[in-house]
Amino acid sequence: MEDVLIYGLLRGGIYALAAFGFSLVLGVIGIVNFAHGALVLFGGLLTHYLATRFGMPYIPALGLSALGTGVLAALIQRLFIARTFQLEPLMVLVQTFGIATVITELGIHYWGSEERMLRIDTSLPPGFFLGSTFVPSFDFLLFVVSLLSAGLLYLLLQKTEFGRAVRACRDERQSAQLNGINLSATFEKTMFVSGVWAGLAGGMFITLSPLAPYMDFHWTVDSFLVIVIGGLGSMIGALVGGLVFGVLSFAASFYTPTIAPSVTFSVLLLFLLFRPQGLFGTGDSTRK
Amino acid sequence: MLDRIGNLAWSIRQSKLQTQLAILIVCMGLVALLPLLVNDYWVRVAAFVLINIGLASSWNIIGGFAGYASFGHGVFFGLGAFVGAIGIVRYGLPLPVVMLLGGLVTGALALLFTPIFKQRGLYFALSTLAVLLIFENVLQRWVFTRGLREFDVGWSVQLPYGLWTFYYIFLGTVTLLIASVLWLAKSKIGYALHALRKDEALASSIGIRVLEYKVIAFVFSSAWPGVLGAAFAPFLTFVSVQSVLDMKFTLNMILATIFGGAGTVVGPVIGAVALSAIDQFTWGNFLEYHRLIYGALIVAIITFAPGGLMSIFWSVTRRGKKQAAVDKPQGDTVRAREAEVR
Amino acid sequence: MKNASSFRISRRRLLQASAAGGLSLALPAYIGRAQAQTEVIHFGGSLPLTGTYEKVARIYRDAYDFWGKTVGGQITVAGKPREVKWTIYDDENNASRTAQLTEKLISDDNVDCIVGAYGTDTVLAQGSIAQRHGRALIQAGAASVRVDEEIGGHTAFTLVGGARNYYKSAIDYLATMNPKPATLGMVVMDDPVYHEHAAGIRERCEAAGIKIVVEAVLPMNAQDFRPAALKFKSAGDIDIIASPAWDVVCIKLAQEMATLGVQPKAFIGGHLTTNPVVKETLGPKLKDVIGVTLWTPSLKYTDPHFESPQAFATAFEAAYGYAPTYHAAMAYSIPVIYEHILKDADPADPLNQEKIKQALLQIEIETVWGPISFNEKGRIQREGMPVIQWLGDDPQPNVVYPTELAQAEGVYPKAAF
Repeated sequence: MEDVLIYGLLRGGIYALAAFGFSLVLGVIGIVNFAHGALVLFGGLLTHYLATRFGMPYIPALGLSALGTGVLAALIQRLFIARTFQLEPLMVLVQTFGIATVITELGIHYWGSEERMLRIDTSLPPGFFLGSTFVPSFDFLLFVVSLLSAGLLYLLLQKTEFGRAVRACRDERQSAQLNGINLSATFEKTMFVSGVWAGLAGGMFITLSPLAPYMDFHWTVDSFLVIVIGGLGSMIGALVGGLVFGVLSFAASFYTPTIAPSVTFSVLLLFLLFRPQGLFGTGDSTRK
Repeated sequence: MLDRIGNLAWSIRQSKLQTQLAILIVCMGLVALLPLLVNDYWVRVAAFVLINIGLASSWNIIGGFAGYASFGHGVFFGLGAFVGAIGIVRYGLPLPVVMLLGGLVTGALALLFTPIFKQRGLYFALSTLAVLLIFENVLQRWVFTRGLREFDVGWSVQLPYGLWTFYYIFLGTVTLLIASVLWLAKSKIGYALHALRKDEALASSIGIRVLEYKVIAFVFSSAWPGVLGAAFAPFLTFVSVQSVLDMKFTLNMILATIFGGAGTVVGPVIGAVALSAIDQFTWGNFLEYHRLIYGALIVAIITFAPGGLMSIFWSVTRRGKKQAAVDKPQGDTVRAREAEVR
Repeated sequence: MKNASSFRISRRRLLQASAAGGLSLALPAYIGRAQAQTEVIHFGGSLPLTGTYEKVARIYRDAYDFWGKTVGGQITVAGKPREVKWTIYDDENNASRTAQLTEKLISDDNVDCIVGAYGTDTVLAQGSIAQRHGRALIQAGAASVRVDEEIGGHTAFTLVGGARNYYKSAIDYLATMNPKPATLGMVVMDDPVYHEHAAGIRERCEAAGIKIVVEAVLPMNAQDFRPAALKFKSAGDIDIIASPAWDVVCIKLAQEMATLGVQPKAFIGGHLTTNPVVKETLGPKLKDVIGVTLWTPSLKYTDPHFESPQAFATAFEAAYGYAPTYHAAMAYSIPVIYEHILKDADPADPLNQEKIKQALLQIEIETVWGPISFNEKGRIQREGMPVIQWLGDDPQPNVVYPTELAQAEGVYPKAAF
């Protein structure tokens, strides 16, 4: 049914937008950032806060929150992850889980735990028809932003100095160091970019649906699913993975809602077993 | 003074299995006196601590000894609880039978995980998480496990046993569990796991059958939570996906082990006790901040002492000799070399 | 070369080690002991003070506190005054935790009167522990029939009406519309309480001749409600859409329906539409949305401390800064009931649980929550739920049914989202 396909793709755009940063961090630094979902929420709630408390117009609020989230992510890298990323991945995972808890709890203390949504007045029409399916404007806008981001990040990785350093750290870490690339600076910048895009995703999503601090786990898990399907380290992979996951989870929720979790996680399991590098994965698939 | 403690602890660690078992029995004997000293609330708390010790010790076998972090391990505990609930309520089986059944079912299920063992590290961890989430859904929806009657969601398990009975059941089970872990640590299985944790490729190249040992370790680490889960069902009295497959059980297992010191026998025990004590303390005194404190504590321990409390202990009491604690397997190296490791 | 004896342990060392080991395991027990009793009447319970139900839990806690303020910090027990003391723990909506805390309240804190928790699993856990100690508890946090079946009448006394009855009046009300609605679609969250709500809806729809065309069963942790909204859309024009669930479900579903262009003639938003978060997030989309409420200040009841629910509401709002919901009215009534029973209790044994349970089974009292009496299963005898509708461009809740209580004329069909 084309309705399901189209809405799935639209949702997928959101998943992809949230997952770009996650993929970058996992591919480059080699850690699963369990605090990623908390970053998405941070961005979303900060956007809401700036727009409602200070009456800031949406775009500046969004931009500022995204940057703020990036800074938070870079701080996490510098203060905590930098000390532990050489340990077993399990340790870092648990550490980032602890960080996620701390961020979430601080968020609850400062902002409260209730759900928040940002109602904005855009001059856009409510939507348009694609065949017989109604496509809401803002969802479509988010989808477009997602596509553009994939392209932008791809160019960033391929064409810039920073991108070269990141790819070097991702693919051949020891050679990168031998060539004088500053590992910790690169990692910080990577986390910064990851945070910016997480914040962007949150800030855009909060206009569609309510967000609350306790939702961070879902975002982290969803990002992870996207990366498993799409492949870590690759921006195109994150995009495709997001779209595929979007359609998959929407279809599962529509056709078999009560067993939808089983369906999505079974697909995850199959990917992990038979194609752990995902569709577009770069780098060693059996790397720890 | 510290040196003496360190030497004592070290000699216990390296001593024969019989000695260690004797110490274990005496400790547990003392713990058995608890209900005579405190009121029911603390007995209940102690029962939960025992369960957490058991779960953490089990997880430690696959996560600590073998180095394969299972992120869905709570599924075995939850399944055990469901086996307990269904066995008692639908089939009227007695508790000991149901506990045994719990262990058998989860152990058998663990064997099915064999294909997942081809993966390492993160991929393994996330595969186990996926399995947990799938089971969570299946147990909720499948008519056989959903509830007794058509509209039920969950099982109400009532047995005429008092709090003390459950306390002693858990105490006995956990004693056996730790005894088996002590045995495992000193056996050739323990030696093999230690080797493959350090460097799997190398271990394989010297002839250790890594897949076999991984699977054995995993079955071992899954069967015990199944047994505990089956006893947990009548203790909690209400078994549902929300109450027994809560992510908290899995997280507590992992955190207690890491906090105490992964890969050691005593680590999960003191980790579980310490976390429970912290939990009780923050709950009572810093209600609104207890989760924040919990999270901050996790971050702190990983950032500054990833070897957990045990590593802090060793570094304080045996300065300079700490490294040996991590590198040496628990078993006597002479015997291990003589053992067959083909 | 190391002496072989360093690998063997003397018996003395053995005993030292095991004593240390055993004692350290018993250590936490010595942290904190029960305190001495003064002339105090100690109320206790647990609530989900952190987590997703934090907001509701706060209302309960404030209401308990409000009662304490209202009675001036002391009540009469068996003819003599006693100081009121409260202990409310955070159970995080976790059944195991609630069991532990209830045990603590009974065995360690020596609480005299237990007040109920919030949520089915937690109340059942609480009841299970209370039952072991032969204690009574009054609760207003779980509507499921399981409470009646498992702990009702002998342990638990429930102030909230049966889950099955929640939405019946909403359907009855809509059945009086002209033209009568023909079709209904609803989301059913996969948990016993919500299945009971749905069963009630099905029953009244059948009686009224309304056909249920879509029943979307969703897992409790469902995040995305667009698939459900799409299901409604695919079924064509549905007259009534019902969301017999909590506030977040109402918000998300309304949002998705608005986005996809699903415009039913009536939308039943659930029983928590009066939670502030609903209006804050939906804003104008809340217009003409129907909700059921178990209580509203405009009802005419008498109370030992207040002349009307409105007086109660005004005083509550003055003290806590927000208008009380039905949770507050229920929660406040719990200590009022205890107060009533204990006033003339036997001075020799005022807190005899058997006597308290007998008194509860026979009680007939009216509070701001309305007339209270319990059936043999400890359930309050209460049937109809007032139906409200959010009317006006700045939507305000008005009772529209039953007619005796109606404050305004309802609107049907509703304004577009």
